[in-house]
Amino acid sequence: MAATDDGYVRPAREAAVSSGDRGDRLLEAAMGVVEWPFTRLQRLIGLRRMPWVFVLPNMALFTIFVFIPVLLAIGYAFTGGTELLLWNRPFVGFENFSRLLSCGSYLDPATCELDLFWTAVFNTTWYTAFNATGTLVVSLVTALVLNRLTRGKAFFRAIFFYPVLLSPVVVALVWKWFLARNGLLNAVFADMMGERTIFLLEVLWSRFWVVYVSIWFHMGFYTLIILAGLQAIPRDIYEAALIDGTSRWRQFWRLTLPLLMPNLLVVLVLLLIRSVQVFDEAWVLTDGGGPGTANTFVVQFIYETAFATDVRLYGLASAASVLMGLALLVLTLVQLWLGKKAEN
Amino acid sequence: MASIRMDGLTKAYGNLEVIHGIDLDIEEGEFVALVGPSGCGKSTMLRMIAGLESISRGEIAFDGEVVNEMTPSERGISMVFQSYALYPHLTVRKNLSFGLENLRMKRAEIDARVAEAARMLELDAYLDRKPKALSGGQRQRVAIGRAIVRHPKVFLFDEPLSNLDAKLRVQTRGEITRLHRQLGTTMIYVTHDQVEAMTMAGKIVVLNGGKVEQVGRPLDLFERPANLFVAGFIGSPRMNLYDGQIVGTEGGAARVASPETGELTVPLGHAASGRAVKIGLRPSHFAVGAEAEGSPLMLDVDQVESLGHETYLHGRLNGAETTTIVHVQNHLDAAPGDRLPVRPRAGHVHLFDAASGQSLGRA
Repeated sequence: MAATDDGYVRPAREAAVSSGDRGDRLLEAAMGVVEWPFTRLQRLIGLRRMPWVFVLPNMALFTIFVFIPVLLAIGYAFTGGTELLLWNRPFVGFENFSRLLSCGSYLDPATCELDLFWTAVFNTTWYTAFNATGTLVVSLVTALVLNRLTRGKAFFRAIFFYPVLLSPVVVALVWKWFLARNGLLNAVFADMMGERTIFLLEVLWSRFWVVYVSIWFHMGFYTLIILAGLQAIPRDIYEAALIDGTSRWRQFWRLTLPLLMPNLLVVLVLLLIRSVQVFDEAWVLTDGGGPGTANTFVVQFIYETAFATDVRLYGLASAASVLMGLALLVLTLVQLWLGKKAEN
Repeated sequence: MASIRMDGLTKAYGNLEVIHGIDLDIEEGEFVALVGPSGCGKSTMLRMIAGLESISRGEIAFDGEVVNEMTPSERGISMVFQSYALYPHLTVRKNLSFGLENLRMKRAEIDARVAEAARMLELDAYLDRKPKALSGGQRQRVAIGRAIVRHPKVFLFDEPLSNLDAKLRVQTRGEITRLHRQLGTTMIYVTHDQVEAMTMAGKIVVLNGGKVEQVGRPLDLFERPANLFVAGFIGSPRMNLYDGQIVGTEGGAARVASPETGELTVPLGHAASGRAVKIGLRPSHFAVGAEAEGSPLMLDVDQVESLGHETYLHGRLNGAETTTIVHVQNHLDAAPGDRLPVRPRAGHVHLFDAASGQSLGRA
């Protein structure tokens, strides 16, 4: 790059042209078309203001679809009634929050004013614990095995990643069919088990399968992140460890795991956030959180309170959203703090 | 300390053989440099000695005991990697003690050894730092320290200086030689830099294309290269080589001639007249200017590199096309376009068979 008198920074494109490659020339032509308006704009507003031009499109979308809705949700959380528009709704202060939080005992959802919310909180908690741990362990083991493969690494990586590309609803429907009373699993194991199990109608089984399907669905993504981390560890460190006479077990605990920690931390943060947000695939799989409320999660409670009942309590749903957002914020901060601490 | 014997050492990847049956003896306590151009197999050979690379055929024995099937740690070697391969998340102290902890050594003994290595390499001040907080030279010393604490039978170095700047390289060269004197351990040192090999090693093994070209003491290789490859590889700037021919023999002497050198008489017993040869003259083996007054050989100077205490002249001998480099001690007042008399120093003319590249002797 070289700066000219007008402060405009010109990309070094001579190399691309001189190579004479057709693709390069096409790219060059395309760049020329894109470059021209930016060159003019930069002359007009100066180099220092250019970064704003580049972040503006994303900032605008982010503002409209994320930032303003967040502010609106906080606003709705302090209003009551069933009116849709914010300015028609009466201000009620912390009433929605106090309703959500009023419980005889926080350990027993039945004693709470909004028992469904607390059931959902409990369900989300166990789901998060099992799903995050399960996915982390399965992804880690898969990545370790993939990393050791000398052949077919790309093939298996693609296989494990493939479910990530599917729609949550499709995944849930496929598994629902698989687990149904007359589904594939029962058909195969009916003789062996003597009777057919209606997996999704039994509390423990349904919870197991909700977590299982989620791990199956998402592990490819996390495996990829962990695999990237494993491949970033220089091979010669393991050779040095070999010369040092380090056992495989100690290599894993003392070298691989600590060197992988930044990636594992990212995976854990993402997993926790996504687990707390569980909704679509579980909702379809369990026909709306069943059996009973065994698989009703917080996002489902928010969705149903705001949009799926006759009396639409936007304020209450927003307050629940805000509480969930705060919980996620705290979780993330704690993990970032742990990460920083581990680094030092 | 250990002596090492290699017998028909061969490495093949599938059908591709990269090391072709090397036989080599390394004495106890010797400092041996494996030197050669990129891809000559020197690093592969070192990794086979270390046990990081399997042996396709042949044998490696330490003190007479075959180690082919032993793991690296069982062989009792230490290795310093080109990239240092330090454990990035551990402090210097932990890097040094990691291998000793694997041996379930007593804490006090570990601490003593770490302290000893730290003192020897002046790492005391950095023991609690992590590798990323160290300079390249300090990291290098940690890597050497990690090798020392194991009290190995053999030290292996894989191009350990290639990531250091020129000044640090010279300094570390000295440190490693000092270490060898101090510890007396057998050391095998891989490098592509013939200067490192010449200045540090007691014995140099020149490798090319997976074969040994010559084994010898540094000065032997310089003064009596066994073939054209060694002649060209050892010595900087490289030896001037000219296509020539034996034009006659009288008594125990032969007359060789080339367009560049004219006719030279060299003592050579067994040479057939008419044989095609390569004539080799090292840049430093010329008398120039007043010293060569009356010589029929003239150098047309094209370029002068004056370093103050020495001068390199690039030019053409006798008006031929081939570029000749001449090295002159001290400063020489010369400029491009000058025509200077030069004379090859007696006893320093190398002759090689043009077809086989093997040395015919030096005169």
